[in-house]
Amino acid sequence: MATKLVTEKLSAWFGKKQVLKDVSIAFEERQVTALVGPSGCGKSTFIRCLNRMHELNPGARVDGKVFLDGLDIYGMDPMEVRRKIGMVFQKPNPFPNMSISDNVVAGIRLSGDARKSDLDEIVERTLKSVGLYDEVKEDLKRSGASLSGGQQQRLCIARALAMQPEVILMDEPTSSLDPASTSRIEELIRKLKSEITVIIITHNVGQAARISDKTAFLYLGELIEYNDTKAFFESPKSPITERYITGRFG
Amino acid sequence: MEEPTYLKEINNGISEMYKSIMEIYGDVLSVMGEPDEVKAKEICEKTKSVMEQEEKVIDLCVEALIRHQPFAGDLRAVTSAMRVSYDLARISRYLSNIVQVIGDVNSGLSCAPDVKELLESGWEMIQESIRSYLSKDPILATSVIEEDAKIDAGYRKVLSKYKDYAAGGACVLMNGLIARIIERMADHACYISAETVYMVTGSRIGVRAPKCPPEHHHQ
Ligand SMILES: Nc1ncnc2c1ncn2[C@@H]1O[C@H](COP(=O)(O)OP(=O)(O)OP(=O)(O)O)[C@@H](O)[C@H]1O
Ligand SMILES: [Mg+2]
Repeated sequence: MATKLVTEKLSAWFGKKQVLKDVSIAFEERQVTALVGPSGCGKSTFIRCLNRMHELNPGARVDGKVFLDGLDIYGMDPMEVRRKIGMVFQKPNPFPNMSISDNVVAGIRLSGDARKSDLDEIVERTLKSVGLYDEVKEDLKRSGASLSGGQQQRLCIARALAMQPEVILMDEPTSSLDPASTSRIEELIRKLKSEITVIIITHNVGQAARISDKTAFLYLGELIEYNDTKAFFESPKSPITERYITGRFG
Repeated sequence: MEEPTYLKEINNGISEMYKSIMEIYGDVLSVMGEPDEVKAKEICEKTKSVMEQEEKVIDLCVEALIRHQPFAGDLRAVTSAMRVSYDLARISRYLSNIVQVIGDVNSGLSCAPDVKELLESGWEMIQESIRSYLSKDPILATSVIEEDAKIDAGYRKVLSKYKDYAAGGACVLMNGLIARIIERMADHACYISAETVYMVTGSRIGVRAPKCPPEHHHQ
């Protein structure tokens, strides 16, 4: 299995406060990796370092290295990094005053590399890939904000996919969704990995067990354990992992 | 680490099964000393109720998997309980098989003591394996598995003792069959012990695989 994205001794700070400590991890290509850990352990900060979003916070600092296909992303153009490494957030955040179709291609328009004729085709193909097309095809011009929460989240995934990223980062993408929308997105994630490397943060350890190939456990800014998902949930090596996944924390 | 209630219930179910087979064992010893049809029937009934206890444990395990979706040590405890309840049910069936063989061969029992010692050592292993399981003691479990070689040797001793009998006869048959049953029971003690090791440490020791003869080299 080839590695896609590698971090080496990645550390991160908010001002003087260090929130990530020497995290070294190799994400495998076209696999789903779940990141789990208690609230505040640094999961969101970690994935924001993976597409250079952390540095956008005032006073924020990153140390260590992140390699995408062997190239250090901190030596690349940040816009290029974010095109290759897409992100989906916890709360669905479609652009409220844009239509469904404009939402899907918003990123492409911004980067200015598509002709009008391509866009309709991209909208249809991408909405189909997230299973939203049939639900919205009658009126693609209605506002993205008029969709249900689950539909909005699929729209946001479509928006990220439209950029044809190589890696997609998801920060608790189903935490505000009902069980049916959650399982649709879980199914979508399983499907995505035939083309894309997926890294997903979740508080739902059952979800991590269901959808991921590998699971990593972060605690107090450190990587405690990283293993194949089955082994991780059947026989974790660290007692801290064991306590976390069996719900005996604190 | 505090054990969740569902695991306590599952382990209570295993303890109940253990109590039942202890009773059955006592009855079997007494039938070996003195044939008793009433007791033989009782043993058969008690064995049936062990099967019901096994069903109950499996039910609790399935429910725990559905409701609690356990992970790590909790998950291993549930899957081990499923296997161990099966092993205990099997042991109770073997015990009642001994009584069946005594009835079927009907040799007058004068030769039964030949395997009594073997049965006692086998039973010792079974007790310790269950104790290792209930007290989560992989060291005791490992010592049970080491004991198994003695039972295997005792079984072969019984067979070789009778091999030379020209005409065979009832004793040969009965003791041979019983020795075989005891040997199987002791294997289940090893299986239970292996579950203890798995449940506590997460590593599997392959005691369930058959012991195959070494390969022959053709010249
Ligand atoms: N903008 C910020 N300024 C200062 N500190 C921050 C900021 N964002 C996060 N932190 C701190 O950094 C640490 C890691 O936060 P992060 O959001 O990465 O955790 P998390 O693992 O994603 O938690 P959760 O599961 O609750 O989303 C926390 O102690 C948090 O308080
Ligand atoms: Mg977070």
